Parts: sequence; structure tokens; C-alpha cells
Amino acid sequence: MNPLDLLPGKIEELVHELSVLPYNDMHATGPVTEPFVLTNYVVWGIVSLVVVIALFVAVANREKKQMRLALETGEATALAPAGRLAGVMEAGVEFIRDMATDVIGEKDGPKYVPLLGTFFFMIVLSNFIGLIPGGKAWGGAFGGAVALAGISWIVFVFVGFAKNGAFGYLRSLVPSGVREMALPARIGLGGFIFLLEFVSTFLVRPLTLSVRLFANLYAGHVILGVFAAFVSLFFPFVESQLGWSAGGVGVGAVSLVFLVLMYAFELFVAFIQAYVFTILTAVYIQSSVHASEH
Amino acid sequence: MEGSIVEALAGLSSIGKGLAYGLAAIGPGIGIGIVGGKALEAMARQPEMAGQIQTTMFIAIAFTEALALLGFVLTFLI
Amino acid sequence: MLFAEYAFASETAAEHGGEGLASTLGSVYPNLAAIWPTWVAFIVLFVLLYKFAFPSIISMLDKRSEAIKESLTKAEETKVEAERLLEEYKVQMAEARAEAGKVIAQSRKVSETMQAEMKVKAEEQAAAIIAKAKQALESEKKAAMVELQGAIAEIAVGAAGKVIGEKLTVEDHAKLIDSYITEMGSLND
Repeated sequence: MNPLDLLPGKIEELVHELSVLPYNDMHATGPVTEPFVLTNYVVWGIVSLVVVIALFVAVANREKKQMRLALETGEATALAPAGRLAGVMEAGVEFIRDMATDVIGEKDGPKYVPLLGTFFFMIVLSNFIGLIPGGKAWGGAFGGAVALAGISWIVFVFVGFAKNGAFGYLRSLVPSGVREMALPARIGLGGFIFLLEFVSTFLVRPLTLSVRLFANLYAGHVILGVFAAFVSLFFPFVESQLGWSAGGVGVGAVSLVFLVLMYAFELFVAFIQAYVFTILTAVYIQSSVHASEH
Repeated sequence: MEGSIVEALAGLSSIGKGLAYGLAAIGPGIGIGIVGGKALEAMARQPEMAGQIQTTMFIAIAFTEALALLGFVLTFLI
Repeated sequence: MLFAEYAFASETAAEHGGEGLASTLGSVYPNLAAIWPTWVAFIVLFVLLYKFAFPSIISMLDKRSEAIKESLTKAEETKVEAERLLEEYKVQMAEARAEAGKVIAQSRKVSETMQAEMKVKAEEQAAAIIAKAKQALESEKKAAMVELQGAIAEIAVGAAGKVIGEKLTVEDHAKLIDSYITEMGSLND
């Protein structure tokens, strides 16, 4: 039997498996549409949440103990990172703090570190857990990505209105140069720019934020799935009744190599997408905080 | 007869999806290439500014990528 | 849209008869069953990180950077102090060396002057000894000459008396010889 005849069925199966399904019924006919169903994505999301919390609890506890020790003995060496895990987590927190102060500013940045840190650690760890075969990431379902982008949207819109006032924030969408023009140009050009900026700020920003996260994870999973399907279809006796043939073994071996390479690349993408999501949230918050300055 | 029309329309829709994303990806592809190349040039010229350039580069890529992402969404909507 | 409905109709009609938005959007349908759990998870994680994890980690980071800064400034102070001490020692060393050089030069000068003085004294003494010796020699010579004069005069008077025969007195002879000898001496000189 020609393995390529089996491929469309395999891909359909793969896409079906990537959709939002009840956790205990992977063969449900279609994606879940009712809101209160425990889905596969939520189960894996809870797993990643538990992992993040466990990591932070372990590190924070050790940190507290060491701080107490340092205060008691007065020895500065007690302030060194307590082991590799603490070192890694501290590096992550410092990374977020540097990002916040670099992008948002020395004065306003530190306030947003916990928010940006929550985004970063939640997304990056769930992305990694989503790469475990069978695992799912929050952002791998479009709803999850929309929810995360929605929080980012709520935060930057709220900060914009709180810092500049409702009128000030909307007015800042039009550049100050246009605001100082003569009246007809101010209304014509200003109105046009306001419309453009309004759409790009309030609609395109959350849309791209969510679609970027979702598309990268979804496409990554589909690519890995397709290569995995190729391996299982072309290697003899795994799935197809192809039997031994040089062509089948060759295609299977090449697919296996590509599968490994793409897996490494997806690990990189998992990190980069979390980083990009966090830094864009920081940039949006920055543009809201300093809206009245330009 | 009816079935073959439906099948043909489904095929056309698939072609449309492919074209929509493919065309939407051309511009941003070139744009991101330019952004990355220029950022690399800037970093090579002033390595001490690498951190700031990288941040700005990611922001610029995000804005450029938005167009490709709109195309991606459109693919599902067709 | 028309095409999509046709396409989906052919694929999914049998399964769920086209559920409106969910089937139109396919994979990009923002599923409510995925939205609210994400929010709940986010809020839980945010509260935990905001209340417990980040304060302790960030205070640790701050404390550490403070401690490092402190030890660095301390090291800087120590270094400055050490440099200052080194500079001081160098100055003291140079002073001591200059002093020693001065002392040596002075003693050399003293010894040189002493040497010179001794030389001069010795020369003077030698000159005095020589002069004394010369004087002594001269006076000896004079005495010898006077003695010789007397002797010669006596011999000459004796001889002349023998020749002339007792006509002249001794005193006359002496006068004569004296005048003669002084004449000779003046010629000799």
C-alpha cells in the first residue's frame, strides 16, 4: 500500500488532536464550544502552572532561608545563588527586570516586573511543556492566546487611561505635529490618523499578539507532527505494510533527522515567542505610560 | 454533478488559502530580512549597543510580522 | 465565505451540521473553554508571584548587588590606601637615600680636605727641614772657610817668612794675606 495515501488521514488526525477537546474524550467529533468543559489544553495548562509554582516556591523558600542566614551571620557569601535552579530562576527574574527598566524606564519599570514576569514564565514553561509529545501549551489553543493577549490589552489600555486621562490618551494617538497644524488639516489629517492609530492600537495590537503566539506554536506542532507522521509511515513495519525498501528507509531516516532538527528549533521558538510576547507587552505599556510625551 | 461542483469549490478554496498566506508572507518576509540585516549591521558597528538594538529589532519585527499574521488569520477565514 | 461554507459543508456536515462561527473560523476560533481557564491560571500565578516569589527574589538580587557594591568600594578604598602608603614609603625612601648621599659626600669632602691639609703640612715641614739643613750646611761651610783662611794664612806667613827672612812682622804678614784673600774671595764669588 502506498504510504502517501495514508498521509491525508494522518494529518487530519493530527489537526483533530491539536483542537480543543474534552480531556477524557480525544475522539470527540469536533472542537468543544461550550465554555465549561475541562479540555486537554486546560489539563496540560494546569500541569505547567504547577511546574511554575513549584519552581518558584522552591527557589523563594531557599532564598528566604539564605537571607535569614546572611542577616544572622553577616556573611556576604550567604547571598550567593543557592544552587543551579536558584541561579537559573534568578537569571530569569533579572532578565525580566532588565527588560522592564530598559523598555518602560527606570522610574516606572520596576512596578510592572511581576506582571511581565507572570507573562514570561507562564508562557515559556507552558510552551516547553507543550513540546512534550502529547503535551499542550496555553497558547497552542487560539482561545488561550487570545486570553493572554486580552490581559495584555486590558493592562495597557487601563494604564493609558489611568496615566493620561480618557481624553489625553485618545488625543495622544494623533502625533503632536498634526495637533499643531491649521484647523482644516488638523481635522482632516488628524481624523484620518486617529482612525488608523485607533485601529492599530486597540484592534491590531491584541490581534497580532494573540495570533503570533498561537500561529508559531500551532505551526510548530503541525510541522513536528507531519515529520513524525512521515517517519511512522515510511519506516517499514511501523505503520504501513510497505516492507523493506531503500526508498522507504531513506525517506524515513531523512524525516527523522529533520524531526530532531525541527524539535531543537521549536525549543528555540518556544523561548523566543515568550520573550517577544513579554517585550511587546512592555513596549505597549511604555507607549501608554509615556503617551502624552509624543 | 452536484458533488463534483462542491469538490471543485473546495479545491478552489484550498488554492485560495494557500495563495492568501503565501502572498501575505512575501512583504513581511522581505521586511523582516531587512530589519534583521540592518540590526546585525548596527550591532557589528556598535557592539556595546547590542542590547538596545536587539530590543528595538524585536519590536520592529513584531510590527512587520503583523501583516503576515493578518494573512494567516485570513487563511482560516476564507 | 460562500466557498468556505461549501467546503465545510462537505467536510463536517455529517459531524456537527455547521456550528456557525466555530466551524467557520476552524482553528482560529477563540474557544471560551480555553479563555477563562487561562485567565484563572494567569491570575493565580500573578498573585503568587506578586505576593511571595518576586519580593523575596528581587530583594535577594538587590541585597546581593548591594553586598557586591559594598565589597567593591571597600576594595577600592583599600587599594587607594595601599597606593597612598606606597607613595609615602617611596618618598621616605628617597629622602633617606638623599640623606645618606649627603652624608657620604660630606665625609668625602672632609677626608679630602684633611688629606690636602696633611699634604701641605708635610710639604711645609719638609721644606723647613731642607731649609734648616741648608742653613746648617752654609754655616758649616762658612766656619770651615774661616778656619781654612786662618790655616792658609799661617802656612803662607810661615812660608813667606822663610822666603823673605824675618823682615816682616807677623802682623804685617797677616794684613797682607788678608787683603789678598779677600781679593781672591771677591773674585771667586
